[in-house]
Amino acid sequence: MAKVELRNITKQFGKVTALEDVSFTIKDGEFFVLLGASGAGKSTTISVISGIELPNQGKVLLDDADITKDFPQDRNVATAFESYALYPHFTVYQNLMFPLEAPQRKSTSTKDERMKRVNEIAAMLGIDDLLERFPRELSGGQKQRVALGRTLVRSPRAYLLDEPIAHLDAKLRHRMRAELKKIQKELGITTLYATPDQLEALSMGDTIAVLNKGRIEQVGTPDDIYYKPVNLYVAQFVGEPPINIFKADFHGSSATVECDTPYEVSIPPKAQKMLEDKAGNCQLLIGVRPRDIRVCPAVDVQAHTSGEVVLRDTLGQTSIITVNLKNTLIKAKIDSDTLPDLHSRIGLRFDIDQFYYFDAKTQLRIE
Amino acid sequence: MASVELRNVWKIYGGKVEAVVDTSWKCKDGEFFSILGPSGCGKSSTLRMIAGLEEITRGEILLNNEVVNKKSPSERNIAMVFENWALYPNLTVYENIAFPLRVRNMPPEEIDKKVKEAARFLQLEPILKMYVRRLSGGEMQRVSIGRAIVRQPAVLIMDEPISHLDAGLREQMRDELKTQVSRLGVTTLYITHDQVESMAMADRIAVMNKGHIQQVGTPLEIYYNPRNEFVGGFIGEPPMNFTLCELVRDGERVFLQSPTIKYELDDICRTNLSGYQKNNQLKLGVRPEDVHLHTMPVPNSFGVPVDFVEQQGDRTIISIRMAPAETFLAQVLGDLRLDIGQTIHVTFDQRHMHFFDVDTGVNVLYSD
Repeated sequence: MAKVELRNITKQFGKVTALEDVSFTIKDGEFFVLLGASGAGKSTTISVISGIELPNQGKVLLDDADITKDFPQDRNVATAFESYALYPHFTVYQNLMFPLEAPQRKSTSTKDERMKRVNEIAAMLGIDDLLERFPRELSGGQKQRVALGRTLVRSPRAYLLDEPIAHLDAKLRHRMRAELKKIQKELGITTLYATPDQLEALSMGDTIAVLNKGRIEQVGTPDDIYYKPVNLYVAQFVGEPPINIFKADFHGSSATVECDTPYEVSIPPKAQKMLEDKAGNCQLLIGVRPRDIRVCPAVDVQAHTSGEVVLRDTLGQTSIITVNLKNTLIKAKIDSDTLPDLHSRIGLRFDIDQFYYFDAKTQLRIE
Repeated sequence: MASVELRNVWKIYGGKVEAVVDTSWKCKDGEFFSILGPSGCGKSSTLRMIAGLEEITRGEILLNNEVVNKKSPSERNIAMVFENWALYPNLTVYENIAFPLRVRNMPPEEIDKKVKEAARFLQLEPILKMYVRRLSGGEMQRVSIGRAIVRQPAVLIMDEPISHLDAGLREQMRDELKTQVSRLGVTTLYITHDQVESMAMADRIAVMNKGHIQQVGTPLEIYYNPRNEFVGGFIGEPPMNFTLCELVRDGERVFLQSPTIKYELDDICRTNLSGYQKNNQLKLGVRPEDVHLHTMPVPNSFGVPVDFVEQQGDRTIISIRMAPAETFLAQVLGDLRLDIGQTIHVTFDQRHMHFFDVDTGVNVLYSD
């Protein structure tokens, strides 16, 4: 168990800067999620912590000791790679046993203990009936679970997991999230979990760091990231479908949303004061999440605006509709029972208490 | 444009492997029709037979009510869009779209007219002179659709065109694809393993598994009235919960009983199940949104511990422990704050409970 700290890490590959001045601290025993689109620098961060890559600048600290230049094998961190990296000529059982039979670990455990550990982990990951198979006889999802198991059999100071369940089907993914989180809490091992899936980050993370083009945008709890995004990028990255953003002109108690047919939205008193204090005359962006929009008849006096339904995505109990307001598209998440007809004209009512406000110039959230 | 019909179509490889078994369905003229199933279910063999790339072992395939079994791929006039788009990187957008017409030796003036018409439809006019290697993913996708439709195919086949993209981009592409295709009005067969794509885009879906058609219907028909356990479990995210239980009759009252729960059925369920006499063992299927949670006991509820909570912003997914080795997922819209280990009281939405035959997997309440 250990605290992991990155201080001002910069990593360049030739002229490409993969990580730029990245700093964060993973507390002892924490489940820390590194969230970012593909190419954001997640895997590079893991390589730097595990010692596979040396940073150009900055330090990696493990329990306050500088390990930036230590060899990977001296760091005692266990890494699960997205590309599995299983031993093709070993069975699943042998793959899982391998890390436990490394000379320095073999001496600290008995054979029975090692077998028990492998069987426990295999059962937890639902691969206990595959132990005699070779990797080539496994599906992608099964290989991924073996790779994860090979990491989890060890008791290192930290786990580094790179998209460890990306290739599993939906049913298994929910189960694995619960199992992984549970085993991590039980063992109390500090864990860095990299994923491009914002739902996974919100579901599992004690803390989330949002990485964008090699830079950290925000570090915070799932609530912070979802309800208090520091900027437009984070607000748009988290939440599905993404938050709707409108340009608006703020004046006193209301704001005019700029589009082909401008309309007024009233601003709740608390937000009014905040905007007067902090935003002054700046051009405003208002964000409203699809779940905070209600559908009503186009003629309803409570409607903020109206438009034509151009897309309907039924997802089951809920549906996502896309409404065209003269060249601005708005997405709303609604009950499938109230699904309006395609190309019909409907009114939209926003939950104004749930608005997010951003400075249009700096793209920072105003709070 | 054309309708596509399969009549008792089989594909058997090497006289043994039944890839497609006795498949019949009809996709109407102008329809957006999706073939959905896990890998190896026979969807690719089906599309290859329709396109004429694979021989039909038995049965008939009809385009516009005409049997085309013996026709070559080019005579069928079907266009395909692939996962990797397969564009020519060293040609401009214009030349990529013009390519299928050039190989047909069409006069240049006519080619020009058709390319420009397709470009106008797909909003590609501003980038016609650009090389495709410089385009964004969305633009490349539109170019590949442009190249497919420029020769006015009878049917457009799309084979997992967006499955490989990152989540955010995939949703964006999904919208774009659906918008473009519905503007063109061309009959479209869309092949995918991703139930969300089918649900969101298709007018109707044919669900396949192990070579067999499981059900054909609109997204909501399939969602609310799955024909069997496979369809129930395959459609919907998070997936449907299943558990084995027994119907126990006590005078007028009927209970669902398993080692962990005893749950009384209301009038609706009782009436629906009254005709079912085969045996008292059933597999119950409940979607996560139909598992209702209460902090205090309510009539006909049972208490279970909370196992795990996934807070996802606009929804919360709660895993509850039904038995030592069995969990159910519940979905609540909005934020629900619960502690792991706390007891929560559960009821089911009885209007949306599904019951499957233990032996055959058939939904015993299914109605056509």
